[in-house]
Amino acid sequence: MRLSAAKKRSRMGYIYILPWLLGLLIFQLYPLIASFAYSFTEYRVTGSPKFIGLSNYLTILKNDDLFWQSLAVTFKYVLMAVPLKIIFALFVAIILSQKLRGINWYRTAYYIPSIFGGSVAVSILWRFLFMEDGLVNRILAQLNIPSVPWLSSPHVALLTLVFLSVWQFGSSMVLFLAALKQVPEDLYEAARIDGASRRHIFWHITLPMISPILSFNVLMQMINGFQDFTGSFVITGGGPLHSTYMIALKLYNDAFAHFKMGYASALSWILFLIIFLITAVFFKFTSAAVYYEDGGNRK
Amino acid sequence: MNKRNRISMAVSALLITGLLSACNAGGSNTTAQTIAPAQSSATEGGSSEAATSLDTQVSMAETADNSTPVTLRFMWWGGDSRHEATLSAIDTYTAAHPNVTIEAEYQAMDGYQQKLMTQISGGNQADIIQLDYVWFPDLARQGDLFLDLKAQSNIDLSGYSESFLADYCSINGTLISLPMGTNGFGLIMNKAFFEKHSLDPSQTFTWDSLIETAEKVNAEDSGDYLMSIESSSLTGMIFEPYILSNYGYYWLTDDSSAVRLTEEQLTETFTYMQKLFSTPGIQPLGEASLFASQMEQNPIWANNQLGFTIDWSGTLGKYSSVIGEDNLVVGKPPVSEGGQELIPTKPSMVISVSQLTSAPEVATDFINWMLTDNQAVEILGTQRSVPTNTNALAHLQEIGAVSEPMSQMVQQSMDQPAPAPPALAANSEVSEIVSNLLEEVAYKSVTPSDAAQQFIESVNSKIQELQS
Repeated sequence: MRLSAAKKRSRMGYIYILPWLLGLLIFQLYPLIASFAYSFTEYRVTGSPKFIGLSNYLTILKNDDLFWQSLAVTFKYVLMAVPLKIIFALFVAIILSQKLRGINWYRTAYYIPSIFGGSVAVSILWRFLFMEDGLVNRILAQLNIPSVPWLSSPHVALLTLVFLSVWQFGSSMVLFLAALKQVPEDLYEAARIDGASRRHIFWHITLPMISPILSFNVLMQMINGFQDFTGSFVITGGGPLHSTYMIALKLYNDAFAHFKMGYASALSWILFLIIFLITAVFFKFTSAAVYYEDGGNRK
Repeated sequence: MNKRNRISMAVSALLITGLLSACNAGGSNTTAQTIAPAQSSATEGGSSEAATSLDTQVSMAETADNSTPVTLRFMWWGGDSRHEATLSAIDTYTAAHPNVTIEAEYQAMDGYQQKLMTQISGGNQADIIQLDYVWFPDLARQGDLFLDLKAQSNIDLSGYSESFLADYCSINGTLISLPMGTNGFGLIMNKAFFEKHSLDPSQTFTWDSLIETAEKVNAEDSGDYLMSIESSSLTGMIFEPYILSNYGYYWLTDDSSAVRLTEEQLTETFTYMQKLFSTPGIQPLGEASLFASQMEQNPIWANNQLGFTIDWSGTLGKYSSVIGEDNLVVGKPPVSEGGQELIPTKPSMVISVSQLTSAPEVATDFINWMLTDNQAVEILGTQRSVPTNTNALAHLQEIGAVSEPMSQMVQQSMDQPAPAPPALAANSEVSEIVSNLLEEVAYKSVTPSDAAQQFIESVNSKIQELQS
């Protein structure tokens, strides 16, 4: 049978995308569907799943105190970490967008924490820096500041994890740098001729011009923040007193310490729903504030 | 099709094959590894089961010593020194049995149970598996995962205590594992610290003298702590020993049906724990907890600023590697005044043979050899604490391969052994409830009497949920 040229072309196309398609189907779509199905079952890994309807969801919402605790911790974490990180990244990006000697070197140096920031090794390093007798408290002691129980106090530990997250500001910073370069120089020039102050220029030209990237950064950091795991897993193990017990860690414990896969699947869908809703709300409230040169997709 | 197109076709085809074979690796592995490698023997082509049944027919007595190739997978966890010793034992065994290949799958403890559970659910677990006995209740739900070792002619059970096998190595009366070592329990002490504060390391602390001594030590040097315990160890290292020494039993009933302690007993225990963790010479819990299950990395241990921690004898190696063997002494856990001294013991780890193995005779012959043969016993030494098998232990002691602290710790546990803990005490969900409550008690975020009430309520309701 001879295929028409068009058919042949499209068949070729499918073959080209097949590796990606298989990866998607096997490693993403299948687990996604499976976890949804498992979320309605009692599934203890070594047994076969038993259908129990909505019972997992109801237990999580009604009887699981640790779920609410971890949700509160996660929200607190995101609310602290995301703004701090974005402000810091923008601040550094503005400095690094100046024409300085050796600027490329600085840009690389500031990006490095993002590359290995989420790693276990850095988390362990963080633990040693911030323990009672660690480097940070020793430096404070030199300055005659009393030592802070960075990781051992339920009131402070989460803040220390926030610092770890803020320290990994590099990827946001790189995006800000690119956005800052895109702001047309003539806008600045016109503003300067009209006698605008630096502050005015920042609020009325720079910020609106980079607002698409700003909203993208906030959104991505928020989504990542809700799923953050390494810090609380490696450094504090969720303690002390569950003050750093993030929802991703709870999910992990239910799945891999208690082997309640169905329950953990339900939990992950609840987390998905939360992130989904927040993203939707975020889009609704920021679409008016974000400036797209091409008018965005608003008609 | 032009040339460039053809090349990219070839490249993407290659990618696909790569991807497919990668996906398949998990599945094909098991068959490739459990079935003997292709050989020109009579049984070739048939399944390995055919090969084994032939084995059995040909020579019952010398199963492992015949020419049919057998490949087995052996999975364990440990540190480097245990890996090296185990690998060398495998080499010795396979050198004597050239038809046997044993594929070693080893890793650290971290993630081992997770890996094992997923393998079991996929049916591709190893043939020979090292286990922790506390996983048995979880594994028992699965039906028969492991061979009944009493039914195996290769296994010599004469060197084990019958009650130990029944308490720690069986599920519902079926012997599914053999103990690889016995863990003793007690204080692991820093000699230099005890000398500095002129304390006698051979004394047995009472729960009250523990607090008094801690205060004294801290008054002498505010950077020094008599004891450090992290929050995930509160149950096993403080709560259970305290209850055992005061009441002579565990906090659960023997059949795991309910909390055995009364509200008054729990309140008293929690009151003591709050007092203990607000004593200046006990390292604050928050600080200690940064070193969950790696207390040897706690800087105060390395700097001789910590008197002792409480742990199992199987962990002695990591503690002595930090402060030096000569600087380490061991002792009995604290007792209550006038109470009874019962010291916990347990198998350091146990070993089982999967029901799915293609060559049960070879697998059982190998584990029996590891645990009883003098050569194997010498190679493995005390890498899994001292051998539980009495003949193996006697041999190791004869050649002087058991360190003094290790001997002492296991001996003190064997002399006054606590009864085996009720099955559900080790259940991950029950112990999470207990451990969370104990942490709240130690941080004083709940009063002892409220905690006692919560303890009984939440543990009992979790038990009902698990048994329904």
